[in-house]
Parts: sequence; structure tokens; C-alpha cells
Amino acid sequence: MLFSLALADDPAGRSLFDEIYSLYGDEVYHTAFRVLGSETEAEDVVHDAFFALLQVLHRFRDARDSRTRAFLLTVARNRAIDLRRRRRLEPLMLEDPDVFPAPEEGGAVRAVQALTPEDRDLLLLRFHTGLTVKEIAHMQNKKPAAVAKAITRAKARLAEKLREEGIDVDR
Amino acid sequence: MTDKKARSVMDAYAAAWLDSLPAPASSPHHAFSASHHDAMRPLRRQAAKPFRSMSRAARFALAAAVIAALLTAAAFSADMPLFRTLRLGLVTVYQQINPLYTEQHFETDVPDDGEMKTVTFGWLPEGMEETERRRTSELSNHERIIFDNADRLRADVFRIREDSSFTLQYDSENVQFFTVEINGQQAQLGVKGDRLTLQWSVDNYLLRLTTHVLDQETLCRIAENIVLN
Repeated sequence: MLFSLALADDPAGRSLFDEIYSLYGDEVYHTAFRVLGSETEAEDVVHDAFFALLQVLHRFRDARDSRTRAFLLTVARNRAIDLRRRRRLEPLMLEDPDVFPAPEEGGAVRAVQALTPEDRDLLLLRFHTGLTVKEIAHMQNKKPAAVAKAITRAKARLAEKLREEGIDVDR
Repeated sequence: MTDKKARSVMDAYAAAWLDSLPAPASSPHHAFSASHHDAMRPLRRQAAKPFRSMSRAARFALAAAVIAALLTAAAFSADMPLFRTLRLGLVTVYQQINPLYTEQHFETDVPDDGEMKTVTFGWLPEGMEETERRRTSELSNHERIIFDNADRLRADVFRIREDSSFTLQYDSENVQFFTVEINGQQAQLGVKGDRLTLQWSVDNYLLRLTTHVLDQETLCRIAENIVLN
């Protein structure tokens, strides 16, 4: 019984991944391309982003959920910027692109926007997409303890920015 | 600040941020390359793996139960994954060969604290030129070199260190594996249609050449003339 179950196809898993790819594949590609200016590298970033997605696919239930899109765009942006940094010896083709336009909304949003991209992405992955510290550490090839510490610090910096915006962080 | 508060702030930020972007459907369509589709295929198959939507821990528990049931029943099926260990020079490869894809885990005992070595190609077919060389984002100890285009010849060089073993997956559906020799050392050649993949090691470096165009003899000759320094 278990054997036949284990060998059975998982249409839910397949359709979800494929649906996410068909929904966001182009957007992820263009996000990476705007940073890198190279088709091959942008395609590699798409692969990396979907590889990362696969590792935490069980966290996502709905392709159209904002968490799915936020996860992919965050990972793709990180990978693309990382890749561009690695080619520091080559002349950059683009100025720092405004890949993630600043939303002009309330104080809480402004507070997040005032964080460094690293802090923002870490908090997005942890608190919006709901990844565990271990999953983020695995994805970023870091030790869980280091990621936990980075999240704690990012959260403290966010609290500081929220207070500057006059938002009560203790409620 | 509580996690609940952090979650509500980040949810608000994500909603505002995503709303400020053009809708995904408005992104211009990009015609992805054949190499990209090749690279995505194993991911799609992974996604279709049984119970992929379960958490890692739940999958592990289920897998343990399945293995126990399998051992009890002493069942054997052609669809079962094969586990093989392959020794390529100083690199040990633990392989899980499934019907549709192969997962390889690489390890070495060699400590290596130096810089990544540079790969030089001592011989290339006439007219072939290196067009791209870069370190990838996924693995800092990985360099990819492309000649003419990725379908013609792609070289991947992985530096494997004592403290940084890693795992790769690739499409191995209907791939035939052969053992060949590169400079007196065992190498693995995978053949699928016109795609040839040659994999071997030099010291603690794993090298992989992939082509859709060249023949086996040419590929081996290129491999034998590669120098790391």
C-alpha cells in the first residue's frame, strides 16, 4: 500500500510548480535581466530562483498568493545582485536599477523601505513568506545560528525605524 | 517587537510593494533557451516527486516507512532508485539514480584553503572560441565556461573542499552511462540523444563538459588537454 502510494505521481505538486513557473517565469527573468543585462545569466537566475522554490515548495499552496511572488522576486533579486557583484572586474552595464520600486504608503511601509536590502529581504522571507530560520540558512548556504542572529538584528533595526515613524512596536 | 507585529508589518510592506509592480501577466514573454529548458526539466520532475508538497520532515518519515515496508516485502522494482558510489580521483560521488533524474553528492577529504584554480583549455576544435566565463551565484566554488554557445560546449568546474560538499541534480531520463578514461583516470560519460556529458575529476576539482554538437572523441580530446593551475 505504502509502496504504491510512494510511487504515485503527485499531480498537486507538479501543477503547482508548473503553474508558478508559467505565472512568474517571465517576471523573474525580467527582474534578473534588469540587474544583469545578460540573457544567459538572467536565465540562470530564473533556474536558481525556482531551484530555491523547490526546496520550500511545501510552504506554498497557491500560485497566486502574494507570498509566492514575493519569495521568487526576492530570491531572484538577491541572486542577480550577487552575480553582478561577482563580476566586479567587468564594467557594469547598468546603474543600480530600481528593481523594487519604493511603495509610497504608510509609515510601516516607509520603515521597511528604510532598511538595507539585506535586512528587508531577510524579514520578507522570514515573516511574510513564512520560511523557517533553517530553510533560509539552507537557501543562503549559511549556518542557522548566523541567520537567526541576522534576523534578530534586522528586527531590532525595523523596530527602531517604526518608532521613528511614530508607530508603537509593542502592541 | 513580537513576531506577530513583524509579520503584520512585512505583510503590509509586501502588499504595497507587489501592488507597485506591474502585474506579472504584463511581463513581456521571453523565449527561454534550450539549455534553460534542459536545466529546468529536473526541477519539474522533482516537483512531481511523490509528496513533494509535504514538509521535509514529513517526507523523511514517510520515506522511512516506505523503505521499511519495502525491505519487509523484499520487493524489487525497476523503478526503484539505484544507489551507487563512484570514485573519481580524489572525489567521491554518491549517486542516486532514479528513472527520470540523477542526484549526485560530492565529497572529498582534500583540504583546500587556496583560491579557485584557473582552467585552461590546451586544445579546442578549430574555430571554437570561449565566449563566456563566470562564477555562478549558486555555488561560490563553481565556474562556468561557454564556448560559442551553451549548446555547443559548456564546461562546469566545481571546486570540492573538505568542508563544502554539495549535491547536484540533472536530467538522466533515458541516459546511457559509460565509463571512459581521461588521462588514465576513470570518467563518466552520459549519452542522451545528441547530448553528451563527460564528468571526471582533477585533484579535488570536478569537471563537467556538456555538448549537444560535438562527438565523444572530440569531447574526450578537449578533456585530456585541460589544465588547472
